[in-house]
Amino acid sequence: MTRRTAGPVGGRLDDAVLARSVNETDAAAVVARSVCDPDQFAVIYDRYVGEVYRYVAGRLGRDVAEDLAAETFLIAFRKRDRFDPALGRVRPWLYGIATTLVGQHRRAEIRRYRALARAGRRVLDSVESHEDRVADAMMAEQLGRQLAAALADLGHGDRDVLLLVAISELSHQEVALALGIPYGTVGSRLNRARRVLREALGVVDPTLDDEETSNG
Amino acid sequence: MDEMSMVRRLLAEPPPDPHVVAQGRERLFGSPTGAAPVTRPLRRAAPRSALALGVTSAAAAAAMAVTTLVPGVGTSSGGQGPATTERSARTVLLAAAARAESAPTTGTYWHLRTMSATNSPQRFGHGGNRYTLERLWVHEEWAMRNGQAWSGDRNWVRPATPADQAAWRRDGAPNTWCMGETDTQPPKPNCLRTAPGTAFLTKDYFPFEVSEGLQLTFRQLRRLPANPGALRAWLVADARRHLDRSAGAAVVDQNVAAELADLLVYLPVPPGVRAAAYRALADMPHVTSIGPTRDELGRAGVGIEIAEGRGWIAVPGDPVRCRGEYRCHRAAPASNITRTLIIDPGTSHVLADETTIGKSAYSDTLILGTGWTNEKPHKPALP
Repeated sequence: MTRRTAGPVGGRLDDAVLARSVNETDAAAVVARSVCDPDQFAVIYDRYVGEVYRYVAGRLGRDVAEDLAAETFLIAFRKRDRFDPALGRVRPWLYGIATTLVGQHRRAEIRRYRALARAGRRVLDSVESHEDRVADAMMAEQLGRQLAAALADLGHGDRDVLLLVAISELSHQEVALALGIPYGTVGSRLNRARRVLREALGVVDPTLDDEETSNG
Repeated sequence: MDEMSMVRRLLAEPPPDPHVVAQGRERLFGSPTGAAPVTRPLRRAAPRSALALGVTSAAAAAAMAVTTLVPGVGTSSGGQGPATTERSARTVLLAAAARAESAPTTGTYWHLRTMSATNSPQRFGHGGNRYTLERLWVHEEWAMRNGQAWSGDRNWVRPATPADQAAWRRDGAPNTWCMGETDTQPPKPNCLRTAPGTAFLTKDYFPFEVSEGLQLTFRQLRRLPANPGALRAWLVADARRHLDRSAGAAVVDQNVAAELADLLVYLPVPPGVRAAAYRALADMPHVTSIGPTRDELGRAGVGIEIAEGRGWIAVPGDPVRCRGEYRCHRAAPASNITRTLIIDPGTSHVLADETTIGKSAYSDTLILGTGWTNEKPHKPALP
């Protein structure tokens, strides 16, 4: 398999990444200043707490996310003097800490996916006609169950990559920094995870493999 | 819609409620109400650097009520005789300052060894055989001049009092109590044991916490002012930074006195700074001598009481919501907080650091060893 470039997963990701990367430099400088002036760290907290919370909530539910999101920033705060503003990026740094914390609750995470697989949750938009809506709702729920069950079965390294990209829209480079893995590994883990999900959804698309390899 | 969008939709959760965001900020900056606390949160019994590392049992232990380490040998048993008036707090502290100034600093490692005791908040046992467990914690830390540091811990429990011991025996004298799971990976049963736990030693860099939100590295600590007035002024400025604007001079003084005590007991400051801390403490209001006394190991010293007044204390939270033990605690206001340092004026070492709220013990730490040494970091031995 050829290496895949850090292509955005969705169309609107480009702008989001661009907007963030502009401010990432500022954020790194704020972290550096906060070593001597701890109050500055509030800027980092206020800026990122919402997305870190939603990432953890996606994986572990809202109750645990309350705790772990706060814990993420507490750990970051304690380690802020080891953050190198010249090399580091704040956002992947925070997601790396959050992902480590999530990893300490792996069984709870899998329980959550199994619960979602039992309960069902719609994962598709409804369409126009009433008949289609009913059928669509059922299908959406069914797909949600299949997807949740597949998430529970993913290898944890693959799941980390997949969910950093899917929930939080991290770029491949950000994922590599967050998890401390080579850039190429991000692509291969993501491909593997996506293939597992597609198989679980019953998607049979002969062009998919081509897409994976020709995109690189 | 591709599978990535479907995953995003499947796992989408709404943004955090504002109160959740506020609570997280409070955990970062230590303010229970969103505004800065009027007085600083009460120090825990343990050296803070260990708490900063998130040593679960340590933090939990420190946040609970305390009994004496040696039942029957309370600290109030000594030092209440007629000799108390002979040595004023000022005299004692200035003598300790002189000693501190010439304390040896040869050795590769700065070292601290403490032992703390706290009572578990919950009762154990069955039926009529209920008892309280006393949790014991030995903590050691080492720091090198280049900033490398190590810390080691050891924990165990025992029935708190003779009455608790009797109830524990009637209950079948169990040696392990498990509650939920630890936050470690993989999760393990979270257990208290009568057998001293496996000793461990962690190599880590840790910043030293001087006050709420102010952590200094080993090197920064070496550069603190060695002049009492300048040291106090620096701590006043720091207190002003983390206290509410409405805090008056008395509240600032309480914080400064507490931080001076912390410098003396827990932080690797150079001899000149330690001497300055003693001298600055001698000039603080609400610092009195209780005269010659003994700590719970029977070591002789002089008790110096610091009336800290009001403050925030950590209280055990709702155990159902607890995941890591050290997250079980919420801050609650307390008044009439008194901190007692038992000082050995001959060496300038602090032997014991006890905090009471009103008349009840809150936390209790014995300092078993402190100073510079060539002895390499090792797993803590039992006392």
